Amino acid sequence: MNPILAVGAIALVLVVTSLIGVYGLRISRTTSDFFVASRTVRPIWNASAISGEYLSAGTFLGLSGLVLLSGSDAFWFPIGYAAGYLLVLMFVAAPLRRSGAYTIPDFVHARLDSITARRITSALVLVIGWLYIVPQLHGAALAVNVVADIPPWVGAVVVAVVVSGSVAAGGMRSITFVQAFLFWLKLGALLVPVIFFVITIGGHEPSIDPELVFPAERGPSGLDAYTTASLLLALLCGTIGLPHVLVRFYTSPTGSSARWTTVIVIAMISAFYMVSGTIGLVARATAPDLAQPGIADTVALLLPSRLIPGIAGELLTALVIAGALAAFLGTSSGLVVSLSSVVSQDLFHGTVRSFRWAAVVCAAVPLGFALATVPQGLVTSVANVFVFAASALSPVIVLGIWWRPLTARGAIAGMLVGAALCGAALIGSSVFGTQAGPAAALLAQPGAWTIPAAALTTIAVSLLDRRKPLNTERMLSRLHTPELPRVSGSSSGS
Amino acid sequence: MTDPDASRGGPPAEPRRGQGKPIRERVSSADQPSNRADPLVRVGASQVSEAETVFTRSLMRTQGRLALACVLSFVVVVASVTFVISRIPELHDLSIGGVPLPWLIQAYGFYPIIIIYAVVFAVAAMRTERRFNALVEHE
Repeated sequence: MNPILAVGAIALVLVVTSLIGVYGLRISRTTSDFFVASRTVRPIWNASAISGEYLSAGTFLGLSGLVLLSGSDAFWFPIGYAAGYLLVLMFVAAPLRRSGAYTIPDFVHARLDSITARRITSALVLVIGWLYIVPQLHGAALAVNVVADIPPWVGAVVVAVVVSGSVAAGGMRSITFVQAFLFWLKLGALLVPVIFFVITIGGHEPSIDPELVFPAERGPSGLDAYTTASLLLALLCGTIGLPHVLVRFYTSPTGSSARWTTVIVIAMISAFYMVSGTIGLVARATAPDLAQPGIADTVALLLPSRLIPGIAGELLTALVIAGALAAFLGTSSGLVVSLSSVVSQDLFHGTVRSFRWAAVVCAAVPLGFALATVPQGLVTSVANVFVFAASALSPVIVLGIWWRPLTARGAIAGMLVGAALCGAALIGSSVFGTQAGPAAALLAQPGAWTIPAAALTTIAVSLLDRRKPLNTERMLSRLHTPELPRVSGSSSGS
Repeated sequence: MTDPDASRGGPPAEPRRGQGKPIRERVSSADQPSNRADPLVRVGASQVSEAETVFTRSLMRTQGRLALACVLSFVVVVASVTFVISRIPELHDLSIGGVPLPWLIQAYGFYPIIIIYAVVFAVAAMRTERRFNALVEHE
């Protein structure tokens, strides 16, 4: 592999990213620019940005790695990530946009009129965000190590520095354009190699034995009902609770444009997952020797030079590296923006200066964490964050939008129960592993019982609680009332 | 607290004046919007009459029912596709380009379902809101 091309690709992405960031700086002037891009972003750009932020190292590198390693079970992850957006669309997109809040804690505070509920939400948002950044940095470490033989920590540090720098410099306005650019880069970086692979493999009759490459027991017929159902439930509900997903809706001009933006996002990420999954299928047929834990996640980076000889393969590898970097940068910078908004508004009354410092802190903490831990499978570590978000935040957000009797105490109880149960299960699973016997699956995939437990706790405590928030009626009518009393049909022009 | 800047007052308030143009946010200065007379939180309530509250409740119920129906039927569809690809071993003998059919369906088949549901829901939700707006206008 040619390290000069790899480093060149990395440098090019960094330069373009910072150029867009700096260009954005010139049009970011006010506090509102910094936090939500002044809500003037068009649906197509907003959708590209949301997709750019959502597609992380987990699906760019991890999906093909897991398909290679464990078989068609891996496809449940992207299916769950895409379907998670379906639930976002149906339950939260338009109402949350209309709430006018900047962050999830803002929403909880406005809906429940409770500063305690707000603080707890902020703490959970921070934990979720940090946990989500860690696998991105692990991915960066892994990637630079494989392609250019650079020590792993360099990759993690470079991504953390670039992310905190560009967020602190430009705020969300420039991040929106950076994200939109990164999405198309990610898609292209996998699509072009896939086209080349298909042409190459299609050219000569493949000499694979389907029974060996795609054995039935590794296919859909080998699925475990509880594990699959629990995982899908967690991924479906988890997207609603992710901090960087919700903050994007505040940049849509109206509730119904937020809805159409989400539809475009679903189409975009679906296209990406199909392409990324194809790499996994090609990898099973052509690179079975890479199917080992720890190495499998790099298969998307190694395939081009294996399948396509000469300079073309080298160039394709450089393109994949650029895309992988885009994946690490995109997700982490989106997360850092939303975490910094939360930190600066909760602790420092939301000034631009505090936002900048918060951006630095929010990238430094997960960096320390990433350097201190050993990377696990990228897809599964990202999925664990979804399980946690689904247990801790999603029930309260959904009930807050749709259920009148919700009270502050109910929400607090639900968030604490969900976070505690899910945290304990995930820690228990990593401590005991398969020794837990029949409970092992329950601990490894806790979504099926922690999410209902959190929701039921919220409902039960709310019903017992007699201190109802005073503004429920006003808030709900604000969330659900459409913007335009209708003259021209312009609001949904996507 | 939810409201560090008043610019979001624009969308809900201005359209009611009904110029028929898409609403654009104008950001002129960081301080100016805070001079606005009416606090934003009231934008919804102050203009919502009692009849409108009834409408809003029914709108919320309709949208909620629509979302639930969509999710439930989506789960049923996904479960049945999963059942078909996992419990019918004969499908494994069919293959395209060397890849068995169940693998292909698992890799590509679910996304079109998700996209179709998304479009159908967005259209239906928009129709409900249009009907609501027509009702409110008649008042």
